[in-house]
Amino acid sequence: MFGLDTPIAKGKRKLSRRVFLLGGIQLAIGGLIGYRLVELQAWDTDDFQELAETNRIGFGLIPPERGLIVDRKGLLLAQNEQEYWVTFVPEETHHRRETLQKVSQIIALSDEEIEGILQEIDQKPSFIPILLKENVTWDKITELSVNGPALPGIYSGFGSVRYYPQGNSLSHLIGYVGSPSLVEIEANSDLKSLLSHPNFKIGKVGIEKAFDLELRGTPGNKKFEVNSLGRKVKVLTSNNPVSGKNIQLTLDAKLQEYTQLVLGNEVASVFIMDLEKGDVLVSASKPTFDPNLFSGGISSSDYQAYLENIYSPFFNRPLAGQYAPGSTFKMITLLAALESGLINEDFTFYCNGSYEIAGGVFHCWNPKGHGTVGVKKSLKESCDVFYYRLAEIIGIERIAEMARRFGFGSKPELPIPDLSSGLVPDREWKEANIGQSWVVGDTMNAAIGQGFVLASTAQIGLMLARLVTNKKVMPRIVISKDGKEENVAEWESMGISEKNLNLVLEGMVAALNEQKGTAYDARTTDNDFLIAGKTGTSQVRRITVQEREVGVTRNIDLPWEQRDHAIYCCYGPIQKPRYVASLIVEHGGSGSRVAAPIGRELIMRTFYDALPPLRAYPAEIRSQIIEMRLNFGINPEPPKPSANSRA
Amino acid sequence: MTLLHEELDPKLSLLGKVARINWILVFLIIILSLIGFINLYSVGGGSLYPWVIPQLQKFSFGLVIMVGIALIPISFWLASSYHIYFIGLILLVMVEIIGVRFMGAQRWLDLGIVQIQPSEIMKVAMVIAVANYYSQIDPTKVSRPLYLIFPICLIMLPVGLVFIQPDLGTAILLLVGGGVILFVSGVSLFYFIGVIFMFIGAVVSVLISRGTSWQLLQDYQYRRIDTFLNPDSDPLGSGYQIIQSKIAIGSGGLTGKGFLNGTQTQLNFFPEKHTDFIFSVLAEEFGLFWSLIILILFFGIVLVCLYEALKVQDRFSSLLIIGLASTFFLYFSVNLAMVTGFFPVVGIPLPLISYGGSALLSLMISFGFIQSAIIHGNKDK
Repeated sequence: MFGLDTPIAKGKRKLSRRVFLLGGIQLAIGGLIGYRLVELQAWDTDDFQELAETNRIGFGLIPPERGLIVDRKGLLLAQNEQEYWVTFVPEETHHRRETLQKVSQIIALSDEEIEGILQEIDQKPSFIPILLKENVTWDKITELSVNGPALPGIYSGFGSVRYYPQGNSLSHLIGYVGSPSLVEIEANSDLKSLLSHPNFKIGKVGIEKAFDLELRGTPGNKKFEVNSLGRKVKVLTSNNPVSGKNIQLTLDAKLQEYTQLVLGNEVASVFIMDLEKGDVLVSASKPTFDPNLFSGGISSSDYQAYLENIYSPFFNRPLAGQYAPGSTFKMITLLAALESGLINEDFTFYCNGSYEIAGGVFHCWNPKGHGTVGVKKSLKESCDVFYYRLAEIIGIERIAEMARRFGFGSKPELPIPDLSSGLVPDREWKEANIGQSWVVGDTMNAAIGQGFVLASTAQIGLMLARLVTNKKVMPRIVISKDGKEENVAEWESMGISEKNLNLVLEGMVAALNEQKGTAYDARTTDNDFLIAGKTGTSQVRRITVQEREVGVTRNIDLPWEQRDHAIYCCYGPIQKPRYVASLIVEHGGSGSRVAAPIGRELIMRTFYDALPPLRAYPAEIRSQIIEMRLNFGINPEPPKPSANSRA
Repeated sequence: MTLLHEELDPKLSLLGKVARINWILVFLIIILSLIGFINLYSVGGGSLYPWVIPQLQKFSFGLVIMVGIALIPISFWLASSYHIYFIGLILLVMVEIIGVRFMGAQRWLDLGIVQIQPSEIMKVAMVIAVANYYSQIDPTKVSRPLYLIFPICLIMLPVGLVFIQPDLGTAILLLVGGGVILFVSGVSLFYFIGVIFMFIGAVVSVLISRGTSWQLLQDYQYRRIDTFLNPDSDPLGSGYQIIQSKIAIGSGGLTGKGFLNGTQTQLNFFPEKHTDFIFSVLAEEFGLFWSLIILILFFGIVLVCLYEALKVQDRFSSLLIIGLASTFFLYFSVNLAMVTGFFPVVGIPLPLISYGGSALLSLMISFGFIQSAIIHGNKDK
């Protein structure tokens, strides 16, 4: 029947041909698809695998815990506390202001805070979370979560916040942390990725800034899979963050606290060193600020109040302040003269109250004069005329050279930002900076630490440290990092003749321990701890000729800002010097009457490592000491003071 | 019109019918469906829900329907073919009037108990009707223009209705599916060549009219063409699916990333992975070896059908098998071409593998008709 040429058979044959044709076309299409699969999955697979990887992998950083800061006795100076915070991711909503206003009903943002936040948003890329509020209570966080859908871009989180248990007392030295500014982000490219952590803070001031990299630690990282929406699905690998190093400082927080107490409401600075290793025990500045206000982002009203305070609470006076050192500089002039060989220990000069040179008259602080003044008496009674004479003999260059050897004119080698270098003037300096040639009067002023000479409280302390040790003492502020002690370099000798040095020290001993000494009232009476020192009174205003005729106005009668700076430096015990203290009370008046008693109080507190025993004070002032302690609210007669417990 | 159907033996016993079922075909269908279930398990993130269990139920139901249809004599289906077609057409019109809008297109009809997609019914109904027509006319006269009017109407009515839903993909498949029957029925090749030239002409005019005063398509439609030709031009828009699907398939490599380990799949990088893009899941997790096996299995079904179509003596049965098998071929080849970036994204699921009840049901009905034709289309030897 297949051979029959019926229409049906014809149709059947045609159908068969067409089916083969159709099958062929279909197989060809199938072949193409097969070829395509081989192309994608065999030949180009490497490219696609790479694309798939980039699709799915995301990176994130885990912020490290900031290192702790402790004092020499292990007392916490800076620590981390857990807290909740609220952030806002601006790119997640177009109604930023409305969202912020809604949020403020829960976490109370003032209108000005909202304006500030909106400004901050404009300055940063919109995907970076902005910190709205820290230290938010758990209740508020729950309330925020409940209202989540109405608050696009609002997130809460928890983490650690920096806390300074010592509060105001150490704020200048320890500093504080804050969110990195745009400039700081540019400078630290490694910070960029940490920006997504809204509470990541960096050190802004002080130790926090100086050792920021070490305190910061190393962030951990997470590699995670992201889905097509960019949401994290699962963590693939993660490296835990390495906490920052714990830093132990040479500071004594309790001593520092006592220092702040003793300084009261003065505008003042104190610097105390232990000469054994050069440890800075106290570096106190008054007035202070609260570093804890910065940890949570300081409010603009608080910040403004600090800025508008005429006593500049942010100013780190002991290290960054610059003052005429006054008579505390006389040791340098005396030593320069002795070392020059132009005078010896028998040199004397008659003081009649003033000194005439080159047509000018230079006055001694005591208009009646000191009579015949020798080396020791010159320091003991701080005779200016004696030093005018020395200056005339040796000239400014020798004084300047000696001052520089003792650390004046250059920044102390301390790892603290914003140190002042002070100023040691000489001919070249004056010509370059003032544009006038050096005159004899400049030498006269410099010899007694006035005029162009400038130094910080720390520099005065360092000078004294080098004087009593005859070594180039280097102060140190860090004992150890993560328990690993910092290397203490062996100090070079100052190369000053012991004999000359002792002459200077004898003068300082006399100033406290002999009658008519400028700081005789600030002496101690404990034979284990006798101290020596030098007062200074640095003139802030110029005393006119007319005023000298009618009698110099007493400081107490002057407006505060015209009063003299009261300066003092001392060391003890005199037999085997261990501690030096230097301090400046701005516009405090007389160094002997204002600064020296504070110096005694603090160096004794340092030595006894407790409230000094009353027997260590001269009998006639013990009642005043008791009164002072009562005012401080502390027991005036501590039960059992142990002598020299620190050593 | 002389029919050959009376020569066929309608009095097969049930056992005889079962024996005549093409079990190879059934086996291939089950194998592909199993691969489908495994994939849906992976798409569900390693879970039997929400895809595997419902699909298994639909498949079981589909198998029953398939066997049921297969056991009914082909002569019955021949006799009812125009009725079925007519019902399908009515349903398509109803979709236009009362259909449910879903994903921007009106494809579903809510009958209270079930939602049905009349275009799926029409895929089968149109093939039966056209096959019926060509089995009844003199094979030598098929190329006469007058004889072409009716079948072209049979094809173009549903194509037009589906096109305005709008469902361009299904409309094209219906058109080509109907065309295949015309082709194997012996309609002169000149008609087909003419149509191909017209198509090319239309494409050219569409392209050159762009930006002129007589622009034929809307701007957004041109942008879609751009996206197809160069998916990277719109990587997050409509080009996204193509790019991500190619990445999934390509990154699978020779051996795949392992079951449940496809990163593109498990991380949701492409949408509609349980339906239109399910092959990408498979290719990513199982690799080239298995993607080629799937391709071969699909071809196995088509080739077995074509073989049976040549074997059966009944012309209606032949045409029916070829028409339905070719529709099946069109579905999987267009889907594969689409997910591999060969063809624009037109929304065609991969038969037997993709999730979806309506398409699966119509597919199992198709196989039911094919089996019925295989069982009943031969003389008893």
